[in-house]
Amino acid sequence: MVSPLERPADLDSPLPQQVLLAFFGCFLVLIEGAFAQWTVFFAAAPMITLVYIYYMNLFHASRLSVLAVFIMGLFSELMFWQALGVNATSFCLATLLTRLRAPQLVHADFLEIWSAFSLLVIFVCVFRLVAYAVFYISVPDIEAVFLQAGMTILLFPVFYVLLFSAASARKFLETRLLQ
Amino acid sequence: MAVPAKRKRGSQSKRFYHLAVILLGFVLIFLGKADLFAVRTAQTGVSGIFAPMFDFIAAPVRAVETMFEGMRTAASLREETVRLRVENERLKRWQRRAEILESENRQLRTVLGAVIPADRQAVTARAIAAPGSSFSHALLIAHAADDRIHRGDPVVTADGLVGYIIETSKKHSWVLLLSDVNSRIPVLLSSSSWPGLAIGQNGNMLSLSFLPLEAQPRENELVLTSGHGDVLPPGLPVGRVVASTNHEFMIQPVVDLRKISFVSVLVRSDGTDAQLPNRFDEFFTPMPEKDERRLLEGFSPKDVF
Repeated sequence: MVSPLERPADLDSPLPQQVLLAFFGCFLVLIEGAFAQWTVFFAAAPMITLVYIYYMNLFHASRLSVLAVFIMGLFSELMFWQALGVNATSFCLATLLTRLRAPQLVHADFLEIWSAFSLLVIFVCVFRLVAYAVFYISVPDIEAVFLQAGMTILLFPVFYVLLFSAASARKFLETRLLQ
Repeated sequence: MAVPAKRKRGSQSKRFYHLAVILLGFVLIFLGKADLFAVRTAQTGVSGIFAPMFDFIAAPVRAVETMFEGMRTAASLREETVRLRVENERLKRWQRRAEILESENRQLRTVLGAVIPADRQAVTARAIAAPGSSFSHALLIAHAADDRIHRGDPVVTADGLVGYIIETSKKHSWVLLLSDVNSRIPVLLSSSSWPGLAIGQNGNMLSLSFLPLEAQPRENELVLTSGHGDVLPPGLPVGRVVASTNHEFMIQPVVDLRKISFVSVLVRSDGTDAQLPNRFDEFFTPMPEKDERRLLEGFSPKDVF
């Protein structure tokens, strides 16, 4: 039996990366909030965080834990005075759905990935709408909800390319550093 | 055989963990609905801590918006000049009319002995976060450290009412916009003085509710705060009546809530709180059993608050 002090350091642990990526997710929550300051995105800022969650769960699922996703949702609710738990739950459900579909999507072409993301955005919006309708017995500005979903779907390729480039740059740096 | 069994166990525990987190989310939804003090404190705390960082991150985004605004203005400079000339002429006429009315008003005040309410002072604040989704219309503002700002204080621009303070910390406060579904503003129709309630709908318009049946709001009629409840001061412009179908009226806010950069918080000069009711039993009076008077007649919100 090896005592904890004698045990060698686990240098391959994904935990540091998970923590860092969770922080990056919270940072993206702030960026998403900043976009809302543009008149065109008022009450309909594109859901950058959802793009990030989708991308990470598709290609690097082990690096973004469900708890990190939950914390990102919770952070957005606390930071932007939204109904507690709705974002966090919708993000976790989105994670679950993405992971279920990931084996088919990971080798699919971009159009398939995009259309799957569009369905995910619609699911998240419907979930939020239902939660809102149950709590307030009314419906919010549907036009803004459509605009937000539409903007998110339309801007997906841009954010996808950015995230993909960031991942490629990280891989390139890793190989250069190891050499 | 041991490896697949171990893998299966790991997959099951991962699934259980995933479901547990989702369940936690649903629990949080119900906790949030309960409007607990701890939740509100957490929201104020988190936004207070991260607001400076958010302000820093949002600065380039604001700069881009300003740049586009500048480009739009430059593109329409000629039209703008013509429009401004016409508007200038119109304003000059209005200025003359206002001077006449001001003089008349002064004379009437001396006759009536009316007192200008001077119990409010303006604290200027900068909006640093706008609503990012249609599900919540709240605004985060940054101001100098000022302990006179309390819950319920009205927030205005030069055009009219924007909302009121719902949470405040040392240097930041949350403003519930007029358009939020939780916003209820007691109002008066400016021409006919009928009272009503402006209710937010998380959209561009407010619904004008609780109007007496006899009330006939006119299109474009100005709607002002009534001051009922002693939380908001009377006379602040809220919006204009825009549509009327089947005795259902809407209000278009006079302030463009999408373009708020600076606001004024109207604090009480004496720094006192509006004393909002926190618990229902503090202001609820049960109906007397053998009293045949109409309870709503002569009902004063001051009794309630």
